[in-house]
Amino acid sequence: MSFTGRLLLIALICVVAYIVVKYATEPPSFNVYGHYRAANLSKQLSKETKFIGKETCQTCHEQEYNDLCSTEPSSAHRDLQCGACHGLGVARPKEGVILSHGCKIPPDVTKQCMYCHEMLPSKPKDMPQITLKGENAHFPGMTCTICHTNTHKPAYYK
Amino acid sequence: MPVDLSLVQGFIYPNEGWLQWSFMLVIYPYITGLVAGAFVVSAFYEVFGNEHFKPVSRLSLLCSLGFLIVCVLPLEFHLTHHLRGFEMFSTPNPSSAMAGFGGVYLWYLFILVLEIWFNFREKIVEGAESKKPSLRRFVLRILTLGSHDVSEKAMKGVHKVTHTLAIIGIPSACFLHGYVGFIFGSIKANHWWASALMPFIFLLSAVVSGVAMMFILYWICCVFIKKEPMRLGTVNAFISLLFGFLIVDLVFEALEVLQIFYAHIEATPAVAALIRNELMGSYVWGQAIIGSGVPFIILLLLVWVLPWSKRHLRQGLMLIASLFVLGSVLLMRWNVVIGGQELSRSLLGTFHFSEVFGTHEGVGVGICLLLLPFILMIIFSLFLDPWEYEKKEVK
Repeated sequence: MSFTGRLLLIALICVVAYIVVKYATEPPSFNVYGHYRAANLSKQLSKETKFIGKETCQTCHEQEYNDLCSTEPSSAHRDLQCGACHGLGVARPKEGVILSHGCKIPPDVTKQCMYCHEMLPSKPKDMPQITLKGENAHFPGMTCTICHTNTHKPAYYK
Repeated sequence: MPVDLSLVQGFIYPNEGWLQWSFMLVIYPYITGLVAGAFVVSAFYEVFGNEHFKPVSRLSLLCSLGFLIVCVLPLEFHLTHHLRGFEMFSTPNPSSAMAGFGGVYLWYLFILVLEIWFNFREKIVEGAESKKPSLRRFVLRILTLGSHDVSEKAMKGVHKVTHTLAIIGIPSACFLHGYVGFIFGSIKANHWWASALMPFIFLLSAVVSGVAMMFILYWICCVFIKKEPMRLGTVNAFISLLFGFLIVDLVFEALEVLQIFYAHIEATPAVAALIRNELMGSYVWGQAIIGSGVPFIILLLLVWVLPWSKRHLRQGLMLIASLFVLGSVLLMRWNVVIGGQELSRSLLGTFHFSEVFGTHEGVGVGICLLLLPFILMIIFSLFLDPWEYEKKEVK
């Protein structure tokens, strides 16, 4: 046999070896629903939720939590989680360790408020909405926190 | 691991408080680029018949193989479960661009190993027929596959196959590295990456770094190993090649930044802040002004002002330019990989990444991985002599 023939034979052996190894190592539940191991679904479902809610924040930030969850009419943000503005936190619940902490609000706080409160026709009517431009502009050029001093109880009550 | 807020500027999302990809992912495209670049240098002789690259042609092939073997190791070090790296071969996923790299890599490895095997066929048989028993003879005997046929007819076929493989190798090598750029350029959520020009700048910088590295290796071989003067024609050919590719590379890199600023208009202030705050040292000063500007001026001098200069001056200046280019390309990989992650998806802030030395993904392991291909190349050179070589004409 010529050396090219021998080379082809080696290539053929490699291809056969690959096919054998591929099917021997493929997990049994692979490709049942898609390109993943179906058995992994139940494993993931059994894990505890990792994202921390406002009750965890309360352990250190009692005042802010009380303001946020107050039943006063001014406490319009009471249904929100802290992470809605501060970013999500991640914890390891069993060990009580906070892995990552929600980060600070950007210096331009008005921008943060406008993520939710910018006027849009598609939003519900009872949602407080403002615009910073045009005739109906809501105190343009001013920062929201000048009047709405406590952003956890944001209704105007100064 | 709590987020260190002193490293945060403005607002970032909590999962951006640490970088998923660190130094290993910086050297992975760097090493892949050197694979492609070294092969292109070899192709200038093998395919285009440029005699000036003859002294480095076979060395480039062995260098390319050394880097190709090492280029997946950074990814392996990056994985927490190392054996999972093989899953992209055992369960190939056609819809994953990342997993697709496995196929591209295997294809190029196949082409390169075949190219080297055919290219060195005569040397392999010659070494296998040596009278003195040695490890080299034993290994080369295995590599002959039991056939010592080097008759004129057999070798005619070998040369034809070598030439064909070299031609196939050029698009394969370019695709290998263009593919790395394509992976980064396809990530739409990241404004520092999402550019259609990304594959081009990765490819061009790969060729530039490969040419620079091969010149440095040629210099080391001539000065320290073979102890003979460098050929002026080869030095000049390297200067022209590096200068040509460097110009095109710099133009494309500038166009890419312009395109990001114009096409991603909503992200322009955030990207500008990223460059101003986080990348001022590594991008503006390191990559652009010093890393690219200095070699550009040196090469411009060599080509335009000092074309009459003597060999010693030319090779010395070219060596300095090559070292700067290699550093600049490494910084370019850093700026793409690290810079892209430092920019928050919120476009409201940045996170400063501080490199560590000691971990399995640290700079220490990275330096070892960058040295490993050269060690492999030396080992290959002991078995396959890359020096004396005369390409046979293919009719």
